[in-house]
Amino acid sequence: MNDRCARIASWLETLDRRWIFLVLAVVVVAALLSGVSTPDRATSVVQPIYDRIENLPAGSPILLSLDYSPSSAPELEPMADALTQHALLTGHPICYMSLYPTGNNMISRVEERVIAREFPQAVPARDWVSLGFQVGGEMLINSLRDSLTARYPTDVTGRPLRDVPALRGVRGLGDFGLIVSLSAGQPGLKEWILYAGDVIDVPLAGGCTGVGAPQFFPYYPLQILGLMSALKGAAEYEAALARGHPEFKAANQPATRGMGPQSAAHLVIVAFILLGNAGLVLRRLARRRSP
Amino acid sequence: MNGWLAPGTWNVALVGATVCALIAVSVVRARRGAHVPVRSFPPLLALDRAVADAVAQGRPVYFVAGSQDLDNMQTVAALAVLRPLARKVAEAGGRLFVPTNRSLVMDNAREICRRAYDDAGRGDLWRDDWVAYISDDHLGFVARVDGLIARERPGLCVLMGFFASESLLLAEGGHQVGAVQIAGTASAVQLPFLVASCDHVLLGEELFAAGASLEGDAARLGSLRGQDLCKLAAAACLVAGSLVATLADVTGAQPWLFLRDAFLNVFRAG
Amino acid sequence: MSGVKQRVPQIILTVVALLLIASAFVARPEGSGAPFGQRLLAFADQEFATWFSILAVFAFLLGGLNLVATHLVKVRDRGPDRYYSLVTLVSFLIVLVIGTAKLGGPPGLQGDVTAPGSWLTAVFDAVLSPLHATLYSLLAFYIASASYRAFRARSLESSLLLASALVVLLGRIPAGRHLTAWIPEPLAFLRVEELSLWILRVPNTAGQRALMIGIALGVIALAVRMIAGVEKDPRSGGDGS
Repeated sequence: MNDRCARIASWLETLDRRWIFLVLAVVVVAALLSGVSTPDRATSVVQPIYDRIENLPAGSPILLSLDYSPSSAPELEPMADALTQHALLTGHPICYMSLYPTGNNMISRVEERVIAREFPQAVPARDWVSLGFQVGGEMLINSLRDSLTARYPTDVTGRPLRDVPALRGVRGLGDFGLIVSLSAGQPGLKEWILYAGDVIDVPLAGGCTGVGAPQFFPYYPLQILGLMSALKGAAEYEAALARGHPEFKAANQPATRGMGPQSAAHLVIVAFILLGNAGLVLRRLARRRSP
Repeated sequence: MNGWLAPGTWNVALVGATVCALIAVSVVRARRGAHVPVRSFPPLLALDRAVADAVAQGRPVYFVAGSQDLDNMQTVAALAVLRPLARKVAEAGGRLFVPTNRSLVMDNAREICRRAYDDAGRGDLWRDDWVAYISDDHLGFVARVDGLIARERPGLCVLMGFFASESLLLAEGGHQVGAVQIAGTASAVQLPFLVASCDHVLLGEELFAAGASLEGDAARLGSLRGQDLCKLAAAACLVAGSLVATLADVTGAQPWLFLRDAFLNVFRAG
Repeated sequence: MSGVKQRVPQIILTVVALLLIASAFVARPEGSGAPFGQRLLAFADQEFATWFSILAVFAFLLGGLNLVATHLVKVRDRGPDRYYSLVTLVSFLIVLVIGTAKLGGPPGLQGDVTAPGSWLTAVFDAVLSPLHATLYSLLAFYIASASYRAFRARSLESSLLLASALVVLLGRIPAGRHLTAWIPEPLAFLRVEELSLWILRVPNTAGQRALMIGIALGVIALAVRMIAGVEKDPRSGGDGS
């Protein structure tokens, strides 16, 4: 019995990590192919973002900063999509920008995937405008506080900002009804908090990857009114949007669909953690019983 | 002063000036000879043994200074660790490889390592291509470095500085070839990954203290003391502020309300 | 290092740093009659950001040239990784030509190099995006193996870590919500999603704030030493020369 415990413990301790990779891959692919998903509901951390957009005065512009690269797109793009849909459904013009060099492509993807397909009646420059990427990070935010035109004299199509109806009445960052930064790292949400939210007291919300979420919770709820973290945060926002706006197409909920495979992955990791600890228990049992 | 000070910044200026003054005074005192005891850092204690083992096995030592440019303080702190590490590797007669993902970091790292090898009397060993620029793209950088780790099988990987998602990819790559891994970062987000996959980790501000601890420079040691004094002051303010706010809410007495408002005014953000 | 090589960069660092710090605390000038000091600081605040961006572009050039030089040497010397170097060089040149010539997109200096239909966008969508996604997806596998190794109940602290990890792992999925949905309302705080939110909002926030304070003080201390010129240049020799 002792030998058996020791052998199993030894096997578990030296388990080749490729077995873990294989089981994880099989389970996640199976969940993806089966299309299983569970509907979610917005928590108290995500709901305030939805409520803020719902309660904005008509026509208040929203600044959406897509501060991520393609590697973080699976977690953050669903947030960008849901926020775009919500803003257009409620009649708030969106202004896109980015602190990341790959931001222009991220913005284009949202325009093609959401605006062009779901809102063909939306008019560029009236319902949305893209300012694109500018280098500078926190220095850029600093410059935009007082005047957008300090660093963005035109939008990406070359139209002067003064001729953009979506930005009528907007001089600096403080004139937006809400600023949302979808952030994968640095520069990102933290810089928006330090250089915009804290300084000019503009309503600020954020979306971040799962990895980044712990560092932003200290800022909630005083410095950011809400935080969507990882695919779950996006799924919660989609759930809030689906409940508040039935016209929000049920098919276009990438985050909710993604929660199926994510749930499977989490359960596999939990199972392996418990397995590893079972090995530890067996090792201790073997030691105690050995002569 | 009227009209000069930006509205709502007096409190930040006051707190900032106090912090800078505490640090500056501590630096001055240390440079004048005041003794500054610093506790030992287990990751740095392990460095000598790890370098010796790696060189004895004929395996190179890898050093990664994070994934940000020289304008990031963590990169500066990482380069402060590179100098003593390069000297240790040079004295042991080993090979140090420093892949970088910023060209300015590459320039600085190359000069640091060249000087360290010269100072150790092993300038003949050093080759400039041991410090290489890989790519600005952090994932492209980590793909190349992981490939190099898999092929060259370093005995020691030192990961210091700011990391994003590449921290776990680098650490797992090093673990896979059996390298000893010593890491340090002030990116709180990446600390859990490094703690889970590395042998020794410098947590948060220990990265900034590492250079001071390795070289024993008076100015750096003095500023460590200044930082500790500021932390004590912050802790005292936290306790006092919580107490005052509680008493103000419970009693409603004017003196406590006044003190609470004073605390809030000094420590409000923006 | 010679005196001039050390002193001039130090003077530039100190002057620029003090100007930028002061500009954060000085009111913005109103009208052309504002004092010279206010106008100078506002200029520094606005313009230095642009100058840093221009410097960053030159740094890109330096890195690009080093990349080409390093890999050309490897190809010329027929080193063991020469084929990887060849792929790097060819890819670098192709993207450089596509981006500089703005192939497939609006031409000219003002033309948007990332406009839909441009070849650069095609390369980005077909090559860079999938490569990024592939590397990023490795993290899921690596975190699984790292968790398997790291989360063992060897001591009280590691047991607490293990328990927190399990609660957060289960609390962050809808399926986890169903596991503890049976818990009655007065004890709703024990449901796994509420516990996971509590862990993130209370102990995690406390730890993060403590780390942030420490890290911020470390950054300030390093900045004070650099501005005052007492931080030893790591490139200098052991004798400080």
